[in-house]
Amino acid sequence: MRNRKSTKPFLPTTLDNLKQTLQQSFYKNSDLTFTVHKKHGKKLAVFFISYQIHTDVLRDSLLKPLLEDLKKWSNEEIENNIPIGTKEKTDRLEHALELIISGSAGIYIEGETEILFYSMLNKEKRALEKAETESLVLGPKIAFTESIITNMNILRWRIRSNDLVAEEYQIGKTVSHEVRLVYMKSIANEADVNTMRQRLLDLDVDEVLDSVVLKQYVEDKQWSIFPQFDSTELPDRFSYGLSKGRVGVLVENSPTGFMGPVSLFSFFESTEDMFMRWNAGSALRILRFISMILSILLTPLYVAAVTYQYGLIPTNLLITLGTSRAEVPFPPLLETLILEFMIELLREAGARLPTKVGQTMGIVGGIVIGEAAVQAGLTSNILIILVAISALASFTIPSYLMSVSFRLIRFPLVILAGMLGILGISLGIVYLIIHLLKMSSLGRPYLAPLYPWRFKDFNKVFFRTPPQFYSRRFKSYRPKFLFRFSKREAKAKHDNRD
Amino acid sequence: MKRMFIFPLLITLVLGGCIPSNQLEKMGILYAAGIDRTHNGEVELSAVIQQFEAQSANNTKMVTGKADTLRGTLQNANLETNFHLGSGKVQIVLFGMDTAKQDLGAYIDTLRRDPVVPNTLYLAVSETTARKILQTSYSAITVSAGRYLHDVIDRNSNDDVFPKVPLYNYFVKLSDIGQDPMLPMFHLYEGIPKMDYIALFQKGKYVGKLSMGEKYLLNMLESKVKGEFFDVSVPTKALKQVTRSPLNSDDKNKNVRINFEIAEGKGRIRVVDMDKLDFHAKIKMEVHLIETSRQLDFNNPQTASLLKKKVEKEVEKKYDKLLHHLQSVNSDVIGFGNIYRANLKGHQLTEKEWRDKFPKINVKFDADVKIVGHGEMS
Amino acid sequence: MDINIKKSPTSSFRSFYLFFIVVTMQVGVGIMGAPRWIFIHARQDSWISILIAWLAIAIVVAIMLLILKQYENADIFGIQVDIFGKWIGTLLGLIFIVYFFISNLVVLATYIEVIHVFLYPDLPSYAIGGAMILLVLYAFVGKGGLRIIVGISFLFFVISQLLLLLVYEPIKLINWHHYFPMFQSTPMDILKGAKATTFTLLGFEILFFIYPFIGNKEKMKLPIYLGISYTTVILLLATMISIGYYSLEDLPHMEWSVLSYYKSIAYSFMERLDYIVIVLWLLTVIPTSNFLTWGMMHGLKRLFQIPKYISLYSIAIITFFLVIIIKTDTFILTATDKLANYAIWLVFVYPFVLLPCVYIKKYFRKQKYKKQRAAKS
Repeated sequence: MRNRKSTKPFLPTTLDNLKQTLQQSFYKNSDLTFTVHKKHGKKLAVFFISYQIHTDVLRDSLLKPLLEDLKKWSNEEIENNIPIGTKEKTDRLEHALELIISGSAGIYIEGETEILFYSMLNKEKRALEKAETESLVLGPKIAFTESIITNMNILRWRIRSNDLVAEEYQIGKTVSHEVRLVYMKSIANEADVNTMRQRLLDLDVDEVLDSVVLKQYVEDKQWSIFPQFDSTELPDRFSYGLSKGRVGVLVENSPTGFMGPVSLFSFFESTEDMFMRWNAGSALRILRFISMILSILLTPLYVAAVTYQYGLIPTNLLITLGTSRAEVPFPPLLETLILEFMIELLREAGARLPTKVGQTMGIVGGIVIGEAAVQAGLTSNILIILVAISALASFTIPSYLMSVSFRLIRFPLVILAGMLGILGISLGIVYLIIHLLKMSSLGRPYLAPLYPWRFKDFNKVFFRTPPQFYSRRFKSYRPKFLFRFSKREAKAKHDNRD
Repeated sequence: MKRMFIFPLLITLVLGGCIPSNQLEKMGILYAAGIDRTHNGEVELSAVIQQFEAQSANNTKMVTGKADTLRGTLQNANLETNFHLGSGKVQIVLFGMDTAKQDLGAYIDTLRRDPVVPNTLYLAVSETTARKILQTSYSAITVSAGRYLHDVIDRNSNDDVFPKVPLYNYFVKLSDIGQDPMLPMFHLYEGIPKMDYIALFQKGKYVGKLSMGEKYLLNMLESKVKGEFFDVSVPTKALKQVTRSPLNSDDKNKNVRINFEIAEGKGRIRVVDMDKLDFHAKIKMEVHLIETSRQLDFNNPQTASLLKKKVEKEVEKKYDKLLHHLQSVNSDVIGFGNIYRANLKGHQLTEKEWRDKFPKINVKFDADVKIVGHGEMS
Repeated sequence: MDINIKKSPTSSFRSFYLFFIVVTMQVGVGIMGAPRWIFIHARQDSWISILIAWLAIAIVVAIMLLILKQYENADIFGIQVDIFGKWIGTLLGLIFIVYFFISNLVVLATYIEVIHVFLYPDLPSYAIGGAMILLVLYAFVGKGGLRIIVGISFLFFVISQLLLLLVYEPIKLINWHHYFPMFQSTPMDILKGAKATTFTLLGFEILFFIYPFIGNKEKMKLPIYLGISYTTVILLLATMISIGYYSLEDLPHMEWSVLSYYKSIAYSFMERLDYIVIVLWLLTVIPTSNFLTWGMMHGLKRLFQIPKYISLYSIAIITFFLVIIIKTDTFILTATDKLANYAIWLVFVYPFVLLPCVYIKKYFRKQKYKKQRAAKS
């Protein structure tokens, strides 16, 4: 927040003086337009930053009535006769500057004690588009944009209820950003809202780049590899979270919002599961959990088996594996690290390149390099399969940030496996589980509902059941209002067949 | 401080991480091992190993080691190869006849003691030396001899019954009182190993052999049997009412040879009289008729019952013969002693006691054969 | 020192988790080799021994709960000081701490021994010991504490129960004749077997320590008794499989009989399941060690007001050096033997001594209270 206490009233003053003061404050910036008009024996100045405001509006709704229609110039007269947009009055320089920057046109009549400001912000924004990073097969495809007004608009449009509260805060000392704390008043736990609000208000930084950055500032455990708030660019995922009782945060200029409290398992949830029939939805969700385990364990197990415990390898596979390993000059640990590195390289290159080139890169990298690497004896073909499977598996996680985390966890595990074999993997997994147990999101346990054990929440997390079983909200996060609807009435169908 | 926690963890592991690795491609993986005795009493190990060399068509190799102990032979054999020999994947261990005739106990104990050696490896006996069987020229069979022997054993049994004798199975029977182990026995038939006999043991010592054709008799008494075949011969005379074609005069002394597939066979042994050593063995079989040397008329309701009776008698006769043979070599591979011991109250059966008693036991075999099918034709 | 501990909602846990705590503490590493020790004495009647041990434990647990119930919210340290006075009470508390310390050492050393025998004969003890101790420490630093280790025991229990599914394979290989003849052991042998059983089933004495932290005490009986019953069933299963699977002559010589029968399992996608079982056993070792360490920390804080971090780090360092020094399996054998012999007095006999003392003290206190009231009025 800007520090306002040092400013003193600097009005009334002459127009020349005002011009000089303003220009000095903007460091002689040519952006500031300052025009002076004379009529009725009074001098009047209109000043604004030209590209920040709608010049049409300025001309038609402000200047025209001001110069042609008004009989008398005084603040009171202007206020009463020009009813456009939001207007504000100030006698403080700092505040005036702030208003000019945020797209208001100022009017000052020489001798008055206050400047009048009319907001006519002209903000460039992109149109609503399909979500890119989190794509869904079923369900709404619209994504948040960089404009917080648009985002709030979409959100209001999704949740048409006066329950939706959006508290506004300014965060950032040098460059401040508008931040909205969004939650459902009747559902969200009060303690969670307060915690989040407190964390936002306590923040003492010069600038937040984006919501994802802000998220890192307010997370419980910043050293952890796991994200502790769910970031999303999908308004439906966001509003789905809010309706569960989560507290969301939207940041100006950021197309992603984040919300908490979340558990590790909610990163594996996609709103798509809810759109599917319950059995298909469950199958997909279980598939994601299996793929998570595969993604973490496949390559470490390969390293452990090939380096130490060859007894684990099925006898029929032994010869295939051995012969393809025989050509590789590196130890299994190095071989795996090289290949994992290559896959990460491909992924990163694919993400940075334009879509069309990216696809070609994938094919070139995946097929050509992979095939050539085996031919050249750089890796064994079984490892290529394993690495590809685990990379694929990590992409099934709906949350992009979480899937990056899971890909990174693999590296220490591979190294542990290379040093201590399967015992190393076991030690790594134990460490990981203890770490997860110690983590929290907005002070709520990260492994809920597994620990603390709430079996009633299982159908919301690990699998899905037909909709009438969702008559209660997610209990682990203690929403204010647990009850959603009556199970019996939800089931009843009053079909009129005759 | 607490955030630096992961670093001591890593440092410890790095320091401790200097353990010798068993990199797969640097190993010569023992596939099959043959154990023989040399003339001067040393142990001779012939090992078929799988090694992984780039650009090499044939990756199996045979190495030999001689020493006083089994472990010693392995170290000795390692001098013959540039790969580190690993015994974590041994599929089959073959004992030479000389070794088997002395005692296998010590070797089994060594194998069982070593945590690296898998428990699931098969054991078998060679009629000559193990080396000769394992040395079989590779031209005759496409895979390595070790693999071949393993597969022969594996494919000849649907369930986990004889001739599959995994190490743990032999180990238990070796020390169980009132139970003797048996192993499949290979011999060279026109240059190719063939599993023709069952080797009977008295604990660790080879004492005699049976034909492999009799394995179903033994298996039914041990567990449920499915999908095994057996032959019986019934005198043609006895079936004269039910043959399709009338009998000739020279058929009188001939037998009808019939082959059955056991759909389900199961035996149960009970002790009838502990003092008199009387046992009763009930064998229930459901069989499919597969082959007859003479066409029988199954439309005739008598056929089935007559055949059943005759076959039951034949099976019982076979069992009597089998038991007699076992008693003559004093090898209780069926485990009558185990059942006797399980019913013996008051004191624990000793090995010597059962050795004395086994030749004296009487078993009444009672077969119950049900012919449930006879193929496409009636 | 306060006799009672203040109830705090942040460090207490639901009594539902007592089941997992009790099972974790009881199973430990002992069960890996336990069937052998029971069988040596009770032969085919081992199951009777195990049931007797279960009954004995149930009685002892009942006595323990009875003692604890006499106080508002006290643990064994408070109770002992209350009854025997400051000096003797502290000394007795110290005995419990030493007992926990040695138990912890034995648990870690046994697991290291198993790793040496089955997986890495050449892996230095300090590496594996150090890693385990660090993992134990990790549960306590920062946000860690009792709630976290309860969570660890709970989650690890759930994961390690997957190993139980694998016993289906060894069960198929059982020779049922091994269970007969039954009822041949003398009552003395069966009791000896029961004594051997109790050694492996030790660990429920943690109740004396964590009692003040149980959230809903009115519901705690069921999980505790279910816990000791579950452990008994597991031990019974392990023992019965061992008897059926191994030859009766060999079982007394099988050092890790439970691990060895996993060796005969091979699946088409993975062989040598015993390796997996051994490394997953870490999941029982870590929570056991966690609770023992917590018990020591808590005790030292209660008795001598030593800050938890100081005691935690010193316990870890001392344990670490002792674990390195222990090289031979004979140490583990003798230590376990000695420990078990003393533990039986401490865990099984001592509560019976304590209970009447608690009652007497309570009686006198009531008298005093009555007198005071009479004097006042």
